[in-house]
Amino acid sequence: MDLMYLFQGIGTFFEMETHLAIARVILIFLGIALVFLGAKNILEPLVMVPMGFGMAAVNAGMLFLSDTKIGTLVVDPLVSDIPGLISVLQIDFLQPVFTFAFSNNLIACIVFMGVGVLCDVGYLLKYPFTCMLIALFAELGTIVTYPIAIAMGLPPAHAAAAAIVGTADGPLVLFSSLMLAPEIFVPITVIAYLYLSLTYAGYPYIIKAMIPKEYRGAKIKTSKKTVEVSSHEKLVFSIVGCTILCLLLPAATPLLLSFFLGVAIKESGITKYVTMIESTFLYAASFFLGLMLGVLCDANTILNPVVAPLLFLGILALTLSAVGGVIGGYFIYFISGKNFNPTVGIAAVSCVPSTAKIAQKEVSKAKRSTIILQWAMGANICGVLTSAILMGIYITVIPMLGK
Amino acid sequence: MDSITLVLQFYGLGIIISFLLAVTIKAMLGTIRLFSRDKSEEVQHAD
Repeated sequence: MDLMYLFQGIGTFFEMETHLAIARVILIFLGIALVFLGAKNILEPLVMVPMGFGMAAVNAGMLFLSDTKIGTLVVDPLVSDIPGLISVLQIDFLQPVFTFAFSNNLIACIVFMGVGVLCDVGYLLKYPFTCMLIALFAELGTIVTYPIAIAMGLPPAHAAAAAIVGTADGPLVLFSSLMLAPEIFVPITVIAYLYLSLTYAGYPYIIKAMIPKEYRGAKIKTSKKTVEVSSHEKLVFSIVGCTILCLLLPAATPLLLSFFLGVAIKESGITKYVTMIESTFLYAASFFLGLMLGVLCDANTILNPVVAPLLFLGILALTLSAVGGVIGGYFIYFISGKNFNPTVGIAAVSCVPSTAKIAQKEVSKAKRSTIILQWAMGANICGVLTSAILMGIYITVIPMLGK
Repeated sequence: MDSITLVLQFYGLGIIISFLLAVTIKAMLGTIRLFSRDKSEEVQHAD
């Protein structure tokens, strides 16, 4: 018996091109590293543990599907014809998840619904102009990265998908890359999620580099006259805001509907739905999102020549957005007569609630008694909205450029 | 150059839509609070 066919996982290494075989080995070790880094909470464990596991398993478990084809029994993202799809759906165990929940953005939308349920829009409603202004500054990466990507020779759809990494929102990146450039959605989403996990490590350095300690510890005095926003008002905002934004940006309707529905469910006080979305849907969607991204990371996909510029553009977009957010924080600090903490700006870079937590943590280190978390969450949620707005503009206009 | 003009247009559009949303929030809250104040005044008069 030929040992190459008995141990096909190993045998396929010798039947494929050398660079692909080397990439497979690297990806297996990268997958194992992601599992450990996730388990140690250095990277986001909810996404990284299933993603690393999938990445290691899919690159190890390759076999001969026919005399000429090497693949896996996990998922085939490239199958396009109906008979082929029907056949693969009956064989590859994660194909139904990919076809019916991933490639149509269902998972991204469920994660966004979970974000809506977790958000409190109270501060956004109290101070809409301040929050919107900071959030618009924090879109610097989303704006500046696009012309840089074009200058680097990327086609407009790829450049736009790379620029949207600057929104610092995983579901938005997934949604937009599937809409704009489905051929590169795997590398771009994997890069985005890896970098988003690294925001925990990198953003505190940006805060320390741009904001001196006395500014970081600044307290924000709020007027005692300010009336608290009721659940009823938040509910009205969710339906009015959703309707207006869907009317203006129909291409982003699935995400906007999911986000605002999450907000509405929370504010309606339907606790059974809140528990269902928060404890079941959100975790299930995050699990399958991580697992799907992992199993889609095979050597062929990652060695796509477009990945190298994406690695640079992704980190550039996220860094510029953070810098823009801090500049926005300073802008509000000066126009409000120095009654603001510029650190809030970094929270406007979306990525709910990580950036808000980072902002509060750095402020607490500078001055223990200063609390800015509610402001940071307001800016955070506004960051989600402005990101969704800009993404809606990109996915509406960019496909028209080729016509 | 075209790409810079294009993203500036995107950003401008983003600013307009964001501020439209902020204005809507202010108008919506104002309207809700105006009506709820009217109602509470009516209840006080009835008392």
